[in-house]
Amino acid sequence: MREGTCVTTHCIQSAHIPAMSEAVLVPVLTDEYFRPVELVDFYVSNILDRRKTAEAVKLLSDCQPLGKFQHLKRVRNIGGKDSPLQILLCPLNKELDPNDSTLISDNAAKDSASSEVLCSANPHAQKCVLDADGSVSNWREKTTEQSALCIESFNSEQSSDLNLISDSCRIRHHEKSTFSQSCATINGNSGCSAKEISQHSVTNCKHDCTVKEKDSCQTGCEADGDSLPQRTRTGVTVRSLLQRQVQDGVFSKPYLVKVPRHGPLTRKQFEETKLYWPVTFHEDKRIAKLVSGKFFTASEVNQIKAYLQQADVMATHAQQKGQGSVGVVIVDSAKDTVIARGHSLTGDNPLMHAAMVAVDLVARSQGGGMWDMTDNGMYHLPVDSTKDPAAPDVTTETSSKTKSGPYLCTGYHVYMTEEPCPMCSMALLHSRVSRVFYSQPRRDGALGSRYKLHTLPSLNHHFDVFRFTTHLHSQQIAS
Amino acid sequence: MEEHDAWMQKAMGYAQEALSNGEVPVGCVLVYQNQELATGANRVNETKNATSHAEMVAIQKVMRWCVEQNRNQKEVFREITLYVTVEPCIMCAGALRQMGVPLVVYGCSNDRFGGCGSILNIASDSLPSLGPGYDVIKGVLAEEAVQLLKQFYKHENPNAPDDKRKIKQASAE
Ligand SMILES: [Zn+2]
Ligand SMILES: [Zn+2]
Repeated sequence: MREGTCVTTHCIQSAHIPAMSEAVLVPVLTDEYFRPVELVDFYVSNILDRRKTAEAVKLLSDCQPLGKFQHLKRVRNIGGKDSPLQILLCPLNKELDPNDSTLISDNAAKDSASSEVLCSANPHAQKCVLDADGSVSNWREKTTEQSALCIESFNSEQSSDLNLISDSCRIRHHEKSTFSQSCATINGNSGCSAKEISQHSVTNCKHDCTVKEKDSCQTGCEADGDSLPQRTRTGVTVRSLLQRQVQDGVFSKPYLVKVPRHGPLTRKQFEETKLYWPVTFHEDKRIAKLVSGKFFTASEVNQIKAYLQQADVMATHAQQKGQGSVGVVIVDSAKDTVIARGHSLTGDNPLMHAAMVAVDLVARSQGGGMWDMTDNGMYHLPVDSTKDPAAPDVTTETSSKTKSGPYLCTGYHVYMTEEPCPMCSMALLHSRVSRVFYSQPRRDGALGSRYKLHTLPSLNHHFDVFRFTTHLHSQQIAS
Repeated sequence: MEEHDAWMQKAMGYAQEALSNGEVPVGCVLVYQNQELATGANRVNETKNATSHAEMVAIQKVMRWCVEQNRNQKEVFREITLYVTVEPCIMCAGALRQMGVPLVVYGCSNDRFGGCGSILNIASDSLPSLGPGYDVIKGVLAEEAVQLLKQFYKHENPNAPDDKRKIKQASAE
């Protein structure tokens, strides 16, 4: 009997014997490290007068900083040496109305993949933004009112307009909404993912969007102060700037292109992202090492495996005693000392999952403890030994260990046969462990399966989580 | 409503008690058949166990009571209402769900660890292996709960190695 229900990927995994080169310890990271490129509409112009490029870039960065699109380079060269340069203006509908024939290029729009969506955009957007004649005075106040009006009119429009909201809106409104998404959505239009573009024509991108989805997108926009047009010290808006640049023959009329919404976090994402638009990439060395599969040396992997096997032995004992068959070992990594070894006691107490037991065993090693534990098969380091002053303290985590010896599970590594549930994951977090290794994922598990608790930004402590992907039982280990 | 306030007032008393013991001022009362069955206050420092939250302490007391009284634990928890001054953390929210508690009433929300909607919603997310979800009523005597926490964090917890144990509590609903 397991704690809760176990996802039985067990059998599938044991049937598959991985090659030595395959990573046996997979870091559990947030999805953003693995997400595919997502594209959004962005206005660009061709720079017709290349000598004015530097000046144009400066003017634009002043009145229209890239903000959440910081990862994009402002200018790109489309082809060879003499081909036109494209310059990023602003996200779709930030200030430029696709129906503004005085400014937006029809020809360029027709060439652009996204132009069909753009041209068929809902008429009320025109209604509320067209009044914005680009005059400098009171632009900001005016536009604030107009966006409110826009939202209102959007609410009251008949549902046919909603059909214009692309499917990607529905997928993304659960995520932290970025400016361009929310504002693009108000115009009844939003970006498509790279996949969508390659798989469907643009018109196929349009799907129904329920009123509820629309509302959440709008909330995102309203809450986002950045969605208001930027006005600079000089009071120049991107629209008035563009009007001048187009008139002067520096810029072509603006048109839309697809650009990557997010900056790349891994080299793989970088390689993929830069295919769509040149981007900056600052490689996070730690993440790079984590995803490389070379975070641990071979001997470290063996050590981890050995501790997990100890946990597995505990799980077997638990099963024999009719308890939940989950085992756990907690190790002071700096001293390579086992502090606690235990297993689930859910047969005695439904809350005594393996991690809860182990955390209490550690407390006992420090002279504390809260649960009634009658099972004498549990181990914890005797109380005095954790305060051994002779023990060399070489850990980098010593700063957390003050005069009074260990504090909770600070700096400790946890080895579990099964992914912990939300309760246990939070218990480990409260206890300040520094790493968790587990073997089997479980249903509703909170370190990878259902949640990734250790990655939630609001939590005050974070730890690394690794899943051991090969089989633990010794007879099945190749080496 | 008045009933909720009255029970929460009791929980507040236990939070006050925790404060005077140098623990994070969170208090709770488990009410069973309109009677106070168990109370809890944070005991992390005393037990050297970071999971000794008020809710866990109170749940444990009910478990012991069930053994003493020879009562069916599952049936008892099914009729319990928890009153707690601060939104249960993700851990406690999970424990409450696994014990089958049907109703949780709390004071102020917990913007750092909250498991009943603030950070995660363990109370009502689909989590079949933890059993059915439970109802939550929030904002009962929230202001009082916030005041107690503010009082606590004015003087840092002397048992923590640094100020990381701070739970910045949200203001009242
Ligand atoms: Zn658990
Ligand atoms: Zn808690």
